Amino acid sequence: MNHVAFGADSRAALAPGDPLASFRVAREPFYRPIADEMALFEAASAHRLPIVLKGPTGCGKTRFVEHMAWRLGRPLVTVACHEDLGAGDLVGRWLLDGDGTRWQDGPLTLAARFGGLCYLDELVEARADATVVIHPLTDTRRMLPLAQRNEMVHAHPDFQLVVSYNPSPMARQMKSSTRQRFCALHFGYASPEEETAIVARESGLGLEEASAIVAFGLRTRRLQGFGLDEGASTRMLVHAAILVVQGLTIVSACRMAMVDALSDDSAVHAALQSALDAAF
Amino acid sequence: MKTILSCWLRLLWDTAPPLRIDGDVPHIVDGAIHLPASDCWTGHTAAAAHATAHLVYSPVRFDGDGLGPIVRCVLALLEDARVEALAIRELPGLARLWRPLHTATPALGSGFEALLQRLARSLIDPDYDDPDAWVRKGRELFYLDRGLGLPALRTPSELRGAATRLGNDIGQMRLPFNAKTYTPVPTYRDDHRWMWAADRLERVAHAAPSPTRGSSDDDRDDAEVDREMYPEWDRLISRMRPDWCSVSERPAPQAATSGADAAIREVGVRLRAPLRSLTRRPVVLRRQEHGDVFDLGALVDWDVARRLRAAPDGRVYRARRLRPAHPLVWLLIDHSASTTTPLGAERGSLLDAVVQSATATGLALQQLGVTFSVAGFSSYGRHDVRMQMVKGFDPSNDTEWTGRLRHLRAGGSTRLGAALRHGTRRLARRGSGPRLLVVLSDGLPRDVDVHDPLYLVADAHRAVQEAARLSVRTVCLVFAGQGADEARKVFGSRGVQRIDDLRDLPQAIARLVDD
Repeated sequence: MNHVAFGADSRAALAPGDPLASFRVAREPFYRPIADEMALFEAASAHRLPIVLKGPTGCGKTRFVEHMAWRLGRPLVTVACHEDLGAGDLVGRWLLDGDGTRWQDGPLTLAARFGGLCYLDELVEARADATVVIHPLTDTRRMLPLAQRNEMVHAHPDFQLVVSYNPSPMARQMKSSTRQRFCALHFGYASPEEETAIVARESGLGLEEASAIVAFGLRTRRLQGFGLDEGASTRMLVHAAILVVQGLTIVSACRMAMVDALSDDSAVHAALQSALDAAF
Repeated sequence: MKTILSCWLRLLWDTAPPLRIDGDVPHIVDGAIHLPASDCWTGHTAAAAHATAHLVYSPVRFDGDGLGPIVRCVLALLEDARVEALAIRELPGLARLWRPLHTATPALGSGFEALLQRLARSLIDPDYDDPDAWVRKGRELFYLDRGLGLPALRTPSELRGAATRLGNDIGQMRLPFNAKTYTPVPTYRDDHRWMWAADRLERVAHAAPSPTRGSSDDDRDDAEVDREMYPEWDRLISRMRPDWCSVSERPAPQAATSGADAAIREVGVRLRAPLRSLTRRPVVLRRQEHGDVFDLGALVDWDVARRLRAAPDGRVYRARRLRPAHPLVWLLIDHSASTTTPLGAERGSLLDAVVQSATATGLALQQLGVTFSVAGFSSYGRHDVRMQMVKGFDPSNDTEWTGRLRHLRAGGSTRLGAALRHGTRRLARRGSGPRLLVVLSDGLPRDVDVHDPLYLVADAHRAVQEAARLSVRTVCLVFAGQGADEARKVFGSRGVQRIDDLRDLPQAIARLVDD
């Protein structure tokens, strides 16, 4: 079960007989809405429509889902999809124990059986059999066939599927047979003022220094498609700000959190380094 | 060096002016920045940043009417200082780049050029205090607030007014000045030829390159090429005709060129994801500790061992893993005469589209470390099927092979079967990984000595089957044209993707490769 990430500090709501107790989000995760995405998510959620969150790395998709799970009071089962993740990793598999074989539900089955938000992060990275297995759950059937076990799991009324997708030029494309099952919420980076506020709030840094870090981060996004696949994410900016709070100068914090982290290409790295020299 | 500089300028101002490292002094012509050839990185950055600051902050040109050469010099100097002050306000670190290059002091004397240099320094360096009254006056006119570095001269007319006053003052000193030999100092500053429209026209006329290109046409010399014979399928007698076609390989002519342009490179980047699946192939491993499904044989053994009270082996799963593969790819480009078909306004010919797609695919393969070869083919009857080798399997510099690729000229016909057999033979001889032959074509097999329209289609289909027996997969990208149906008869419907635009290439390749 090493693919399952646990919700933040989730032991609080431990109730007997609640198999998803450990997946409940106990404390409110900070999220600053950019537009009307919360209302849109709630509307889709009222009818348990599957949602795809699109947007670049580190712009707040995962945080948004955590926040919405907390807001809606639903357990959140997160699976970070990687290229070796197959259907078995999602639905479950037979295991051996002393008496013979025993079925172990996977995270998707768990959420479908007991009613939770299942969040598949970067679904397109998973193997093709994993993307197909969600199909019967995402249309009106709302069910999950477990062929290996001869069982049909009918999804709990509270079950909802959320996936994220980063449509960068380097990423795989989402197949239209999968794509057409989802409502979409498009995420971008917040405006510089909002991003400054987010960075300041997350790191505890003053607004003025936070805005200098954001300004440099915006510069790096100009290289997107010209040497960088993506510029510095909001998450990177927060990291830089945390380093400044820790006592580093802005220049060394930006170098550590952005310049040295963004690229291995020596030309791009040299350009980023010189731009950092010029910017402060 | 140029890549770093252009990335850097994009980071600073989100602009990418063309950079040319060819001038004797830095100058700007038609939005392109010309820099002197130099090994010194700071010299380059200072000049490039100054010139780009002009492109970002300066008006397109100045009205030089009625201005004498002295006033023009002063105006240019004030404009230099103004764009630098604005740049430094946005990017404070640039001051550390430019200031050390200003070394004028009163010791330089009070000649015309010395005074200009002292003024330039006093406008950029707040710690420099010049005793000269004219220099001080210039500084007072220039700055609204010296501490904040706010320039007072914001519009061309304010700038012109200040320049006229300063110019008149220095003119009254009757200092010797030769406008012809004057160049701005420090030398990182450009020579202002962009500022004055009239001068600009004159210089451009000088700079116009003379188009002399010695193109040696090496299509003709046939003497030294090796020929290989291939059979051909005759559908009427249902037999192979042995040694029927003669294929010769020759190197494609080299062309001086500067690599692929940005749009093609971008498609190349997008192609990496679909092509990556070539570099890994799934294998099923038995008796694994972890996996999706039980390995039944291992499970029975496990239970037998348990009942015998022996130590059971817990590795009872079957698992699918991706193993690195070492694929070989051959890109086969049809450059027959039919590829001159224009695709429509501003899109060039079909051959252009084919070449661009092959370039993008090749760049992606190169970046993934896949061994690949690129060849163009055309035929002039069965005795003369020509393969122009753009790139062999050995690693090669991308500017070299993309240049050769772009230099392919349309001509001849499309004897597809012979070309496929030749590519298959080359691929089958090498390596053990998956082998893929990609044909980029308009999809119509034709030749001058064949009149039956089905004959070459049937032969090419046969060649595809022969390739499959030698574990070479053949696929075809058909470019806008009516040939897709015929291509499907040759390659099968799953081996053909039709594309109309370069942007569709990644998806088409993904469909061909994922199969």
